[in-house]
Amino acid sequence: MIKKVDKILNVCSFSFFDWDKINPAKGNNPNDTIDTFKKNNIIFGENGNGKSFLIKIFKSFDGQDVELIKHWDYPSEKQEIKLILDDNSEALFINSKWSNNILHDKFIIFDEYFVNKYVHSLGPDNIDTSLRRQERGKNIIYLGNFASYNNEIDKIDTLKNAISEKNETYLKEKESELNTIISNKNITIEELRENKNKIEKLKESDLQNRKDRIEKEEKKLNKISNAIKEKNKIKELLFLDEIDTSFSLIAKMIEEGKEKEIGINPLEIFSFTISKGLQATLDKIYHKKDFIKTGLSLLDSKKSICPFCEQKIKNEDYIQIIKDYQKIFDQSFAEEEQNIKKLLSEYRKVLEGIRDLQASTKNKNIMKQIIQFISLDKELPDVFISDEDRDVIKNELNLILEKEKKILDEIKGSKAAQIRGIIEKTNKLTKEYNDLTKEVNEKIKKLKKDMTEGKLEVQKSDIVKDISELNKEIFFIENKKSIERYFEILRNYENNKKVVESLEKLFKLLKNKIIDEFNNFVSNYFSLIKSFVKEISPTMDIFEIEGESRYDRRSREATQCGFCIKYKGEECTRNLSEGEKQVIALSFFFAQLKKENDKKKIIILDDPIRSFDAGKRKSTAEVIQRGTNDFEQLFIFTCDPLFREFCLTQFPNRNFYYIFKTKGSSSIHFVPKKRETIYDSFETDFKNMDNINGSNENVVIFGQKLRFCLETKIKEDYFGYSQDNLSNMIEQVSSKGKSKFDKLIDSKDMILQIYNYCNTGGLAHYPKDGSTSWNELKDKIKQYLDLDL
Amino acid sequence: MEKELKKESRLVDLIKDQLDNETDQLIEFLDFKKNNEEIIQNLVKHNILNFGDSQNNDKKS
Repeated sequence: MIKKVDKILNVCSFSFFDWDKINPAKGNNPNDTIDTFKKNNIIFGENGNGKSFLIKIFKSFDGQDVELIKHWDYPSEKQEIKLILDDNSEALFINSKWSNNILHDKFIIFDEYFVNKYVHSLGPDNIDTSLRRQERGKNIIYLGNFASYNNEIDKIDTLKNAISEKNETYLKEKESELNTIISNKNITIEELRENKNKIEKLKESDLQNRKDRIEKEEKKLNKISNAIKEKNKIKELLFLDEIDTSFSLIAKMIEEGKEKEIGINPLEIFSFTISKGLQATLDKIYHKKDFIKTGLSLLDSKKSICPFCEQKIKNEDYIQIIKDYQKIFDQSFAEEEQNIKKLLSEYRKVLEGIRDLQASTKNKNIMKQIIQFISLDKELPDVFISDEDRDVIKNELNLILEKEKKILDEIKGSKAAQIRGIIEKTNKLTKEYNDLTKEVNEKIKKLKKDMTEGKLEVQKSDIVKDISELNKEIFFIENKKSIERYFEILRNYENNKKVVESLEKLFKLLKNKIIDEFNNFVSNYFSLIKSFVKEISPTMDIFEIEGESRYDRRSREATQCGFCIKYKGEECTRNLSEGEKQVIALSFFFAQLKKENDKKKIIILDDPIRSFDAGKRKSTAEVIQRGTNDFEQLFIFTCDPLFREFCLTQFPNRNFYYIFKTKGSSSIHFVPKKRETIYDSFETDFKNMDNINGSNENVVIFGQKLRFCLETKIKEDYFGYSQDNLSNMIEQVSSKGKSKFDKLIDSKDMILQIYNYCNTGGLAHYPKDGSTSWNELKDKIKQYLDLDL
Repeated sequence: MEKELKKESRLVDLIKDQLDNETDQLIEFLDFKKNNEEIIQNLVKHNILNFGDSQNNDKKS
């Protein structure tokens, strides 16, 4: 519980307030009891004296986001607030900081902010248009957070639309730029998107390859077009002949009655001599005689001693030896010689075949025809040997001729190794020729078949497509930078779209949540609000809240969660007055208090009866008393004298204070019970004026006090303004007595003269030019006191 | 002691447990006191939205 506001320095209108100086232990009257705040506190003050600033200070201690500005006359002076609690602990605010948070979240405050924040009428306004009606959807009243909730949903929805629109424009602008490049090439944006992966893989280095392929495809197209035009020629096309010769140094020989493949070794053939023949012969027959075997092991062409007779021998001597052994190997030697001749013959055939090799001239003629219709990667090779190889072969054939003439003489000069190379080369050439021939024949066959089956047109169309694709690829490569930039924009666009999707998701979640929240609100607060409304304003006896959450707007905008109010059976939300709005706000506030579990809280009410008539003032005071009774402390701020009187009556355990500006600062004055009419207090001040400094500020303050006393005293004492009903008013007025009224009427000129003085000249405002002096004011106050109203 | 401010309750805070990471991150940038264009600028600044063109080497919004 707050015991007192000990000090407020330089905060809003409180430039220098010190509780103990304003409310000394002993007041002006030594018999006055000076008391600190009680459980219930009624604080009265006219507008502009600092009530709202004091509430702002409480809000700041509560932890709410309010700015405590410096007093306008002291912008550079330090600020300080000190609150003393009932346990004598302190809450300090120095240099924009709190010393502790003991009062944090301790207040529950009802003020104009609460009304504006939590009660929203969405009925028609001065600029009611069809669009506004559509936006509003229905006459409705929001309570609690639902107006801000709805704003959130609206915000999400409009933000989503704004981003979406911006994103579409962003993409369209870029696509429009790109269209100026691609439209000439008959390429669409969709094609670019579809080929995104392919385009990203294309490289500058692929450009030549694509150009080459186009050239090739165009040739193919030309040929297939020819084929379509000249179908008869295709029918008559002949096939190519293959070369059916293959060359090898292998001869087929009959040996011991069987055919065998024998390798032709030119060097061996050309070196065939008698001794070699003999050696070969002996080799064949060595198993027949043991001694020949022994002799053979010792024999070679370099020996000069015969291994058989151990005599010196010459080459010719071998003839004798042969003769000597003729019986044994005559037949075998003849066979050996015959073999050599046969091999020579075979060798010659091979060489002559290579020498005379040539391709068919028929093939060349066929090729001339088919090349109009078929694309070939290679041409048929020329099949003939080089002049150099021809010379080698010619030389070898001469050696063969020579050997045939002198079969037992060794012939030198064979180029057997080169011959083998030429054979290999020739075979390779022949194979290559035949392979190509086969390939071409297959193509001829296929062409004929495709023609018969009518596939040539399809093939032509495919080639046209391929060429078109290749042309596009070339375009993609040449314009890759522009296209990649578009892809980047496209990626941004897609990512932005995800944000829009997230906002849409959020929108739907919020829409469902607000309905849940509204339903909870209805079940928690609806009946309470309704009962408080009936209590505060019994004339609003029909207060229907259609607490059904719904989504019934024509366009898909925010959810409508609100209440519909009826008065005497008619919907009145659209005509809700400020007073009715205040009744609903106050009812909601008390419903919240009812639901509040923490009864240690301090309740603040700032002019809860604003715009209320007299009847509501009394019922409100009663509701406040009941509704706040369980809470720790209550502060009621009001500028309404009638409501003040109701509260003073309603709360027995209470203190009364008024806030008034004195000496340029707002201050809180304790009013002892016996002098609770404020003008009594002011009149005490008037009587003490000789001790008060006659500054310009005090001219204004005392001028205002004078006007307040004059007006309030007459209104309340003579006309019963602070009474709640007619009988009390009559009672009040009657108690003054006739003589008092006579005196009032007699003094009317003086009263009006003083009243006009207060409302004109320098008193209504700051007397800059000193037009109103302290002494002049003192005279007027003296005249007022002399009236003895 | 630093000034502690009470935050006004927002509806988005009541559905936080239903959000995926991306949406949860997104709402951190939704300042309902700002107008749409200001919010969009802020989202662009934090690379959540991108209306840029690399050729111009900027992030238009």
